[in-house]
Amino acid sequence: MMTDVSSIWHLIKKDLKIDFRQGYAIYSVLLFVFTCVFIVYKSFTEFSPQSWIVIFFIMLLFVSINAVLKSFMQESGDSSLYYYSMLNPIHVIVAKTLYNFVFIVALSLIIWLLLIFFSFNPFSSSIDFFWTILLVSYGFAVVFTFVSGLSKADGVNATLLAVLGMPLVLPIILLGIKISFSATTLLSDTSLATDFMLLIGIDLLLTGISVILFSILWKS
Amino acid sequence: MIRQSWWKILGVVMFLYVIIFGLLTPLKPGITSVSPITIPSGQELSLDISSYNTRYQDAQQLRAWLKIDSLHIIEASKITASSDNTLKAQFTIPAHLPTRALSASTDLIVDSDSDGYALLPNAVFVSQSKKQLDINAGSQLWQSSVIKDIHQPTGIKFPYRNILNESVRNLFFHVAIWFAMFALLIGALYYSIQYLRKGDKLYDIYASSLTSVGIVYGLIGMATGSFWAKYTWGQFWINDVKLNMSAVALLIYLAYWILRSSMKDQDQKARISAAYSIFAFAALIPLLFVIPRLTDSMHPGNGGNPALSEDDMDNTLRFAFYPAIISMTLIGIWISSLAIRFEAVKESFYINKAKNQ
Repeated sequence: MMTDVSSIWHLIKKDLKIDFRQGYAIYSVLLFVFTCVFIVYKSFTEFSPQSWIVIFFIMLLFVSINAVLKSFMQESGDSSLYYYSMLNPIHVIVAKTLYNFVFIVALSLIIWLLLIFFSFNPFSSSIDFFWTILLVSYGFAVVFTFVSGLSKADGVNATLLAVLGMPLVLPIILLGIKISFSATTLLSDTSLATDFMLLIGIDLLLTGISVILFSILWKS
Repeated sequence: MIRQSWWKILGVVMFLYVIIFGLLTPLKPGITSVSPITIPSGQELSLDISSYNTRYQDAQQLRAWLKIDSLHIIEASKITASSDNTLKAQFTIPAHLPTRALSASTDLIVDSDSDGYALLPNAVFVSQSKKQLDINAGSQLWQSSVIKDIHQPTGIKFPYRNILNESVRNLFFHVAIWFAMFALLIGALYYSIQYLRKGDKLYDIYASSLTSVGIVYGLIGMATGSFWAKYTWGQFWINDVKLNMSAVALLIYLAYWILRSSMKDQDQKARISAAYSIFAFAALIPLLFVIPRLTDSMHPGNGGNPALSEDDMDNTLRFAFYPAIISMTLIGIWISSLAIRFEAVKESFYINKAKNQ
């Protein structure tokens, strides 16, 4: 058990170190976020909470696709053989998913802050929105990490696989948007608890499947 | 079993039976509309009733009731049939209502010995003024009749539903084809798992063919559902959670097609598409069965609406509905078996060609 945790932790640390050492990956995503927010700020003269939320989630979707796509780039070629002989596939997918999860949460907080800076904060209950961000980011991380893990074998067009992931995250986004809408109003929605449970359920289901399938695919 | 042909014949015969029985069986008599639909208390009501599938001019005995609940019923004093499908009924509405509210809705029941009974729920709304509020007097006045000696419709007939009318027959096509689609997709899921476990190329051919036919079935199911929606809800597509989620589900499976056509390497294609289709099926379950049940939806079976319950289904419908599911599943398996054989022949052709070179 301890070795599992430490091996996952080392993998996460390795990803973090590589990303910070290379720099360009993180900075390019940040530039992407800033440009998007600025375009939105310049083009909307009046911002309704509804459009705020929809734009937030669409930006988050594309930013996280860009951020996660690279996650298996380093493991192509010879290093993949090295990893294959060294590591348990479950550790790899869990570490990648967690790392991407943290990354996407950080990005969504940055988008949120930038949107507040340029426009306003539409939420009466920011806590609810924060939980939504956590759950939606986790769903994104699971789906996109799995899908980019599929493209680990070289020769598959990584962008295409990201496109394939998009219908898979649609229910997650739709639920996220629904919960966020209810977080903008003062009245709390009676179905809020079921929506949260549903989101958690979808996240858990996808996690289970991605872990099982990845360990099968890892062999090839 | 797959090489024998009895199940193909069975599927086609059952499908023909579904088409003939499903389209030729008449509906039970029904009331399409009444006028006027509102009446103040204490007045004479002369009600024009239009009906469907009735032969009221042949009827020896015609009776009609307005019913608030099982206790409070009044009977028509005079009833005349001006044609087979139109009636004029005279009611004397009592001066008081048996409720504390200012209005009550009544169900109209028409019984004839020629066709059996017909019912229109919430047909006439009876209103009263504040001065007329008297629940005890109203309760006594409205208990002037009881419904008895009702004639049952004779022969094999489908139930008459007000907004559905003749489109109730779509049950055998729209609902059955979704069931059949699920059977095919579950088959595809099974073969995808088998492929990942054993790595036999044949399983990949099975899975992909079943999925393709399943997607086509899904599209047909959506098209038939659209026609039903146009008839009952007024539009081909409404913003309803069940419809939107099924659209998402189809998008997920269309992405499967894109995925397969995008890769050259055969093994890689088989492996990745098997993994994707398992993932997609897992995403399909919450989309189609969990989310629509938890939120409000107009689609039957969701958001508290019943589906396949006592109200909607009766035994005559079941006589065509279950064969429809079985026959469409069998025909789907037949179509996929043709696709499987075609793919397998193509595969062995290329292998032989490569050997000869």
